[in-house]
Amino acid sequence: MSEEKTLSLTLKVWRQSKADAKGHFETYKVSNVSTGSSFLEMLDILNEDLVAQGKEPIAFDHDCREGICGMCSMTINGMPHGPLPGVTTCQLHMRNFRDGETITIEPWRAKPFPVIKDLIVDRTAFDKIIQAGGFVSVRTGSAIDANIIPIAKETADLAMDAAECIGCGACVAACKNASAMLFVSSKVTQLNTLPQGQPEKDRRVLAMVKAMDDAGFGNCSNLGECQAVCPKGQTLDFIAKMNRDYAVASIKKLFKSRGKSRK
Amino acid sequence: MSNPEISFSEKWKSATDPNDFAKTISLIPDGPLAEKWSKRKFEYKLVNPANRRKFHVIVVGSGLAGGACAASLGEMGFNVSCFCYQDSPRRAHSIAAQGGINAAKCYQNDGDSVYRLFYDTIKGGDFRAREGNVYRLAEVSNSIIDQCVAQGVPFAREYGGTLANRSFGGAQVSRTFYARGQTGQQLLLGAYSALSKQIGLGTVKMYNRHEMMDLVIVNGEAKGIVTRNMITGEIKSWNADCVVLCTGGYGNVFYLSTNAQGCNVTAAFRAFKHGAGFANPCYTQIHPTCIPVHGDQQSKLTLMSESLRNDGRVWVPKTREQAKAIREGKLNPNDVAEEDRDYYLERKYPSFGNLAPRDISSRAAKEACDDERGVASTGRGVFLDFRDAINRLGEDVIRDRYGNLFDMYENITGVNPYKNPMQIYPASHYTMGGLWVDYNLMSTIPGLFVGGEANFSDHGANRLGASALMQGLSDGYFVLPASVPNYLAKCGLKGAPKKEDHPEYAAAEAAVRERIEKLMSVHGNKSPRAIHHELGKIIWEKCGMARTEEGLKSAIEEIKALREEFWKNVKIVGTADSLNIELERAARVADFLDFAILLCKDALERRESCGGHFRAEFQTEEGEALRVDEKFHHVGVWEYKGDDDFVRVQEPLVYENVHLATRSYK
Amino acid sequence: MAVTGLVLVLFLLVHVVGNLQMFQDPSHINTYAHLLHSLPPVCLWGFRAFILLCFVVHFGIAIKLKIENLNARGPEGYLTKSTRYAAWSARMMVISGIIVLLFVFGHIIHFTILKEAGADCLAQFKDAATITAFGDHGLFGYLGTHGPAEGGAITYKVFDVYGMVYAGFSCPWIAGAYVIAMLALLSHLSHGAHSMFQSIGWRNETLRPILRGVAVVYAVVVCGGLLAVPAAIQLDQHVDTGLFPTVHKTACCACDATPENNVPATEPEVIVTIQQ
Repeated sequence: MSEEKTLSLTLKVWRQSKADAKGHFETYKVSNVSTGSSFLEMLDILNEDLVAQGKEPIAFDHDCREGICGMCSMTINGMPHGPLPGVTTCQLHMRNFRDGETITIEPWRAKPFPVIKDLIVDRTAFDKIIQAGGFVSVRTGSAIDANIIPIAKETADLAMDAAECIGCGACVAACKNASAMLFVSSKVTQLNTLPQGQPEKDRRVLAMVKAMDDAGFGNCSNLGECQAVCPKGQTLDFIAKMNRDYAVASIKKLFKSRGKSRK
Repeated sequence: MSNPEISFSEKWKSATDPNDFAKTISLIPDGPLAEKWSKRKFEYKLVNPANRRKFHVIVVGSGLAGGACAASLGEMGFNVSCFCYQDSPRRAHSIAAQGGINAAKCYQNDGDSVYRLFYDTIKGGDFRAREGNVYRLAEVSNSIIDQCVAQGVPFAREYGGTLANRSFGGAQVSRTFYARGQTGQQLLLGAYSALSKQIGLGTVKMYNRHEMMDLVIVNGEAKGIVTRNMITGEIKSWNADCVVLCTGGYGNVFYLSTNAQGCNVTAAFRAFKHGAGFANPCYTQIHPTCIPVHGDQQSKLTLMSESLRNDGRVWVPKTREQAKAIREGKLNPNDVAEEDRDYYLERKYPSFGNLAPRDISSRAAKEACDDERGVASTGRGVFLDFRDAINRLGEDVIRDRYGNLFDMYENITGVNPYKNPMQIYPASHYTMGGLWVDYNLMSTIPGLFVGGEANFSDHGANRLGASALMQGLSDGYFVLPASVPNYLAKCGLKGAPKKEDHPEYAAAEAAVRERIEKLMSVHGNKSPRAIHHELGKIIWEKCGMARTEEGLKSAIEEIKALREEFWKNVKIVGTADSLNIELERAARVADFLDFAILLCKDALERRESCGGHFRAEFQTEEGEALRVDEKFHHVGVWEYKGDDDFVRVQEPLVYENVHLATRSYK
Repeated sequence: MAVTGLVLVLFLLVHVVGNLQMFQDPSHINTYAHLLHSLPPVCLWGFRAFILLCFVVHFGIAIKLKIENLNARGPEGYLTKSTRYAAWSARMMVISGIIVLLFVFGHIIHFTILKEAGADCLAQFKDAATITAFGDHGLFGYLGTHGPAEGGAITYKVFDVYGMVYAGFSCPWIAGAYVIAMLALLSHLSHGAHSMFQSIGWRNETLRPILRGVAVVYAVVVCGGLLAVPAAIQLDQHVDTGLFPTVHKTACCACDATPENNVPATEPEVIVTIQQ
């Protein structure tokens, strides 16, 4: 282990008792934080202090604490997941902060992510987008042998790159338009790249983009801030791919044969 | 709370003939091993597609087993409700599995087969798993890979476009399919996408941020659950034709583990209190390659994938002096000469070397540290060194294989593992024990099915790497969707019991409210986290990698005292009718405290060493685990009779194909 | 957004090429302007309408998107907000766009509407320049009066665009406004000209930095080209740059600057000056 020191910090934390309550910032002091602790462990320490004082601890989402479940979600000094690029909050360690520093902690801010309590927001809008088309329709047990369709390593690697998205929502939190394009395009790229996803390719991209718009996310103006804060390094490449697929799908839809007219 | 309708211990005690037991209680089909599952599937009763929507199934948990099961049942047309405590089903902790998933595809032409996977799993489990279940697991493993590829899971591929494999602990073939270091994530997202499709179609209703607080039994059968809405605090009961628990393992009883913060034993323990048998709780897996503990503030131990052991070499210094110098920072491990390094796994187990199974590797690390040759500042750590692999293959190849894991290690420890050897130490990771289920994955409570890590069925006393994902998906995609409809068909079309006709629902709700009220009214001085931390220390010290009769007995007393303190002195701020993280934790810790006693009792009663359960009194002269087959070749199943009053009965293991042998990886 | 943006980006390039003729003999730009005006009205007005339509659609969509985006951001903002990657120009698209929009209004009023309407202040430039055309005069049609043919060439009296532009930009206020607008355009283009490739999906991680670079270069070239004219004219007010040797230094009617050198229009020889 690298050498450990302890820090004393001032925290400005957003407190909001419930969804429809008015929130405010509160300032706390926390000391004796080991530089080897994670940011969430630092909040654990603060919460233990608060509980000891009979105050309500700060509610925040977290679960796996190894950077993969995508549950932890807080904006630290104006940056989703904090100052260290490429990590989630749970993987942010206190050695990245200075002794005596003041840290501002806020929830994800976006209309489709309403605050539930303190730093916890509701991200079911993401689930709704996946429900609209983020899947390959295949019945359990009906699949063909896995090696029947060869997939070029490059294709599989691209799909895997896209599939690494953890659905944390940092992209939305960072975007000045609260756009969910990086999240949506990651899933679209994964499935639209693989041969298994081809039959539903057009339907998928149209349905998922519609679900995204219906959920109230903003538009992409290609600033790239989402990419810069993404803990998994998802790139604008996927958004370009989705835009391409969307354009093709829209044009194909316009000109496609209608067959017989249906009532 | 013991329910005479459900009680099974008397009946089990009277079933003396093992074959008879297997046939009538474990419900393992007779006939040749390879035909058992086909035979059983044919025997299953079916539900007419038009009638399926009339059956309501509750699935608790949305991980590999729960998510896959809910999706598959929903796809068949059943009316499914799925509950999870996270904010989305995509967050279940299956997502954190790194290394891979086994299947007997034999794409590598290295002599693999269903039977070999079956045999390796039985052997890896130290001959403590059921033959029939394990064979079925090996058999459906191939369909799992097919299913996942069809869903768009981006498994690693060769340049020729075929699937790639890596090798894993406990096997001499390469049968592990993987998606970089995030196989669990990709498989879970596959199941999540299938589940999402059904949610979108309306056949599955998803309830996020709902925690199961209790089970509802109507006329001796599981017919519903009680949940707490974690946002509003609302306590509500739900009725259904049957309940499927896929609620994961109880590794968090150790406080520090590789499990997610929210993982808990509550659902399983509540079912146990209602009369479900709890099998082999003492079989806990300590994973050998985790990042060592660094201080008191730590909340979680991070796993470094076992796949690292393909290229990393495990060692400690040969002398205590050098180890001490390393601990104190006076000696750089890179300066330790080759002849002064003890590559103890390669030395002790030359044929498997660094890929020895988890239990064996973990214990070897403990031995080295007990011998005061451990590194890390605490003395509880060993090296996992990539120097030779980097010299042989180049840094780029290593980066390509393990880049994300190396980055994660550096991020957590602040040490660059390309330049310095990693430090690792074992940590609680997986629990092989769980609710007892028969071959159809139904517990001793009719209508209560259990899948994934929550049941005990397939791993015996130790789980091999890349088998957890296999078991979760086997249960979720293939076993439960076949066996649950069979039960429903037997129930008939009378429908789930109506809440207004059965006071059991209201009573269960009231009991949950009362328990929460009791927790809230303690008004003590100690936070639930602090008590959990103390519990973890007791379990890790006395019921961890090496257990003794004396230690376990004192652990039980300590846990009882801690539990007493908990109910007298726990402090929960906030209110019960809102989002309250302290109350959530307290309710879980309360069940962990009760469960910990069961865990220790089971460890005490199993007077042998096998797999993840190592009793110091039972070891060979070389310090290897010493099984006592004549007394303990059985599943130890506990029935709840009252507080701390647990009765242990046995399910004899019938081996028709495998001969019991001393496990050797030398 | 991207498609209309692309049209406007390409239009700008044409515009710049046209403008840079200010550095050549007046007859070039006057011929060019006359040529454009001599297009059949369907083409001229069709083109103007098309550009205007692109402009309106571009602006309209921008408003719609901005409203949606503000709405999506939600009621509560961040107390602190830091930026890791997004370029300043990209974040300023709305502001730079509005500046450009205001400028375009003024610009059209200044150089198009007033002229088309035959405003008094521009009357002095009417038929103030002479151009010479050789060979087929088909396109030169009906506008302007023309003198006798000399050796196959006919001279036309046309509107003196060169003089008008010079006069316009000799006013420091107009030139200043023009500079501000061009800086805004530079900012707008340096994001917009690569962003459009992203929006239509013609970009990947390899092309991204390249296109970004190309967009910046493009923006600098276009805006540099557009700025060169007013800058040179302003400079010419103070030192004799020799860039505008044939100019009639008149004042613009838009401000009260007194004409310093109000020389009557001379009729330059086309072929002589072209070599400068």
